[in-house]
Formats: sequence, structure tokens, C-alpha cells
Amino acid sequence: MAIPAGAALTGVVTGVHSAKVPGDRNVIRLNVNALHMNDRAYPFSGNISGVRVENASGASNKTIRNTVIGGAVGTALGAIATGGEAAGLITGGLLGAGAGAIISLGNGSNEPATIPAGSSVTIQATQGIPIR
Amino acid sequence: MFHKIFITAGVAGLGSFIACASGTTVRSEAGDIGSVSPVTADFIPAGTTMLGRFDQSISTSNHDGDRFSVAVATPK
Repeated sequence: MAIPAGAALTGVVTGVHSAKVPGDRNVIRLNVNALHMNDRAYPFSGNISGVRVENASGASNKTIRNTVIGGAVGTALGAIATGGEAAGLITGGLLGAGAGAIISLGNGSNEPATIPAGSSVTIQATQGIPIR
Repeated sequence: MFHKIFITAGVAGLGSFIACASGTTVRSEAGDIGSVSPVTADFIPAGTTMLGRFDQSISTSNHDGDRFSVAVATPK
């Protein structure tokens, strides 16, 4: 198996918007750019396709992958904004242009604006990675 | 008779070869993603899906440029 136990993906935060008023959206954009395994780092191109946001109480967990339901992505924890939804967040001024997956963290102060440590994430490679 | 058996075996073998060469279709809850080659010892193909867990909390209190890491549990 090419991906051994102990492998890790790393990335960078490329955008954040914190809700200022009730009803406003909390969103964060994450770009995964490296795969670390066998004591080496490999450039990685890929997309976060799903995040399961698990809050401290275990309540209100939702997993939504690449799905925008009725345009209500802003209210779904862990929903990935894509296409027109993502473009709308940028043109609306919530985020600047940049690479990465835009993840909804709920609206206003009614939902936690945190992806806790240990939350599960699904990431798909968009380019092949030769292992040297 | 021998020729018939030989030809039948040959056709079956060719079918198996074509099936293998066509790769693996990756599916997700969002639908088919596409056909990819299997992960091998020296190449991770496009389309490979990995499951992992965030090593740290990430929130809207983070800033552009902050780094994060994900422990890979398994390729899916």
C-alpha cells in the first residue's frame, strides 16, 4: 500500500469569515497542499470533499459532501460550498479569491464556528503523486 | 474440440485483461467520480480518496496562512 500508517496531509487556511451579526455566515477555506509519508513531503493537489463537524456535545453533527441543499449551505455545519455558492461568497465579499475548499461553520452565533480537533475529513487527490 | 476450448479460454482471458486495464470506478455519495488506476507502491493516482482527522481545532478565529494537518486514517 502506497499510503502507510502515520501519513499526514498538511495545508493552509486561505480564507476566513466570522459572522458579525445574527444570520451572517461563518465560513473558512482550507487548502491541502502536501502529503507527508515515509519521512518525505510530496506536493499534493486535491479537494476536501467532506467534513464531519463533531462538536463537544456530539449534537447537531451533519455530514454533507459537495451538496448544496436549497441554497442553504450556510446553515449546514461542514457543508462544502461549491460552484455558484462559492462564487457568491467571494463576490459577496465574505472571502477573497484563493484556493481551497470553503467550509460552512454555521450562521451567526447559533452554531459553533469551530471544526474541533479529531473531526473527520475526506480529501480526494486531483493529481497523481509519484512516490520516490 | 481442442481448438474450441483453446479459443474459448483465449476470449475469457482477453476479457479479464480488458476488465483489469479499464481501472476502477470511484464512487461517492455525490455520484461517480471517474475511472482511476489503483493505488500502487510507487504511485497514488488522481481520484484517490483519503479519510483523515484534523490534528487541531480550526475555527473562524484562525487567520490566512495558518497551517493545519490531517492524520490520514486510510485511503478510501
